[in-house]
Amino acid sequence: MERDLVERARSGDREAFTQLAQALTDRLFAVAFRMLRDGGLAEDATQEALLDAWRKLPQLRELDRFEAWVHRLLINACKDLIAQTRRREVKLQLLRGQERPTSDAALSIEQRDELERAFRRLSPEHRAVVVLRHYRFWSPDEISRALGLPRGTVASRLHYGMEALRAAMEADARPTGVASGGRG
Amino acid sequence: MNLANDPTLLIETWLREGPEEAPDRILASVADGLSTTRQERRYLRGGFVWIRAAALAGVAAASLLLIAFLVAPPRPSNIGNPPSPSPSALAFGPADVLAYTRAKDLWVAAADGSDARQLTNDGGVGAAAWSPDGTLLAYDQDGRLYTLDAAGTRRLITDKADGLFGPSWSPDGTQMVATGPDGFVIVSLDGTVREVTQAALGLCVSGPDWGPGGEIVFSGNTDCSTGSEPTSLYLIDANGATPRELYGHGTQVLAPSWSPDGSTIAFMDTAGGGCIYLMDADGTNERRLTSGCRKDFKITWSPDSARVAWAGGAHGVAPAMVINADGTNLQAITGLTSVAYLDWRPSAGQ
Repeated sequence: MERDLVERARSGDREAFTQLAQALTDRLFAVAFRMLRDGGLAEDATQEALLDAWRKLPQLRELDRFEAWVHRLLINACKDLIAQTRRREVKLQLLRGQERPTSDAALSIEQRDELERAFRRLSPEHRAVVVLRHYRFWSPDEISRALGLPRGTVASRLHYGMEALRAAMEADARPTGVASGGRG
Repeated sequence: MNLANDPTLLIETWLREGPEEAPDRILASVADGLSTTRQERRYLRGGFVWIRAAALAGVAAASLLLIAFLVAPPRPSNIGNPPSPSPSALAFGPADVLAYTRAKDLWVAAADGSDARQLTNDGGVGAAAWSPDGTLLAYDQDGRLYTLDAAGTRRLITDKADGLFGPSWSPDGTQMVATGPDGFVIVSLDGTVREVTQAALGLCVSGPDWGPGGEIVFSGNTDCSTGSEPTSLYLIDANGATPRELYGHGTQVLAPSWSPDGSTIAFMDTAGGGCIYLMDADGTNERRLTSGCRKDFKITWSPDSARVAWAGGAHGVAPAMVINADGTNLQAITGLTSVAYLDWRPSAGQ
């Protein structure tokens, strides 16, 4: 179904594009939120990526790769927003209905804070591959194709990004209170 | 697998926390934006046709068209109007002009939203600022600062600084201050670069605006490490001397903007559902001008310091707004939707 919609949207069919956007918006927003750690910015990035997709659709050659292509536009929008807001980083803004898990959580508050800080220290490029690999569970090859990066670059960014996050958790060696008895 | 002992699983658990569903307003905003972006594409195609025709007609015909355009610029009524066929649209047309960004490109329009003209078409533009004499537009594009003059000449100010955003001119028009990767960067038109680091200021900073009296106002927070919002406004002189707190009890304080007469500073603070506030330049007489707006925008003043205008957000689709500085006559600039970072041309440029 998607290829037909993409074809129609590419030729200027607004309704077709709207259907594509409806199917993708949740996934794009979820990825943007993970990258940006802010609901308002994630909205902006999602909106920008979709409008960018509408503008640039005539340039898309591989119609079957529409979703990966829009993710690439989304990552670029996130990078722009990170660059614009880097000097006034915003607090994590939890949207309604997404309160942090507490008593039965696998992660302690301290671990979340450490991960939050470590993630914010990552470059947008590192954030992107970490989110696509460990949240969307794309393969490194899929990430490589979607972002137009060499496979080795994806691997090295994944390695560095995850090492940074792991190191942050190692630094937080306090008991976590998880069901298994916690770390440390 | 013991979850607590597998950092990768813990990280993936952490990544799963957060929203999975997008707010409905995103699609509504996109739907609103589709029509305008389609208009842009049509007009851009029209522009290419125009250029081809002009080339066929030869240099003489092109010159005649250019002269005709400069003398009697077309005045279409709304946004989505065709971008100028020539960068010389920076002849700017009417005197009362707003510069702004739209879809990451630089535009100008009359202050009532009419006569919109696209000045760049290669994207990556953040925010723009008119020089004090109104003859140049400075803007950041892909992290670098450029100026554009009335002849349509784009000039890279320096290749020694990157990651810059939101230039603001010094009163004498020889320098600009912009937010950089680690504080402020002051760039002279001769390419000289000077950094005012956050470490030197002891503050996490953003949004500098160079006032007519020579002081730079900006928003900041004493604590950069926690990722907290800027809660205060500060002043420094052009040398980046010890910052002086001007306003210190906000919730999310952004986008300070000097009035052209130097008497008043407009800024955003979300405290108490507020939005744009005004205060005297000495930090007294604070008063709320509007309420309930989004972050990431820029406030700009009319040349006579009588009106204040702003756009809804970095990617907002709400129309730009204007209000008298006394709080009366709030109006939408109906032609300007999906725009950001308005900057009103100084009167010296008229």
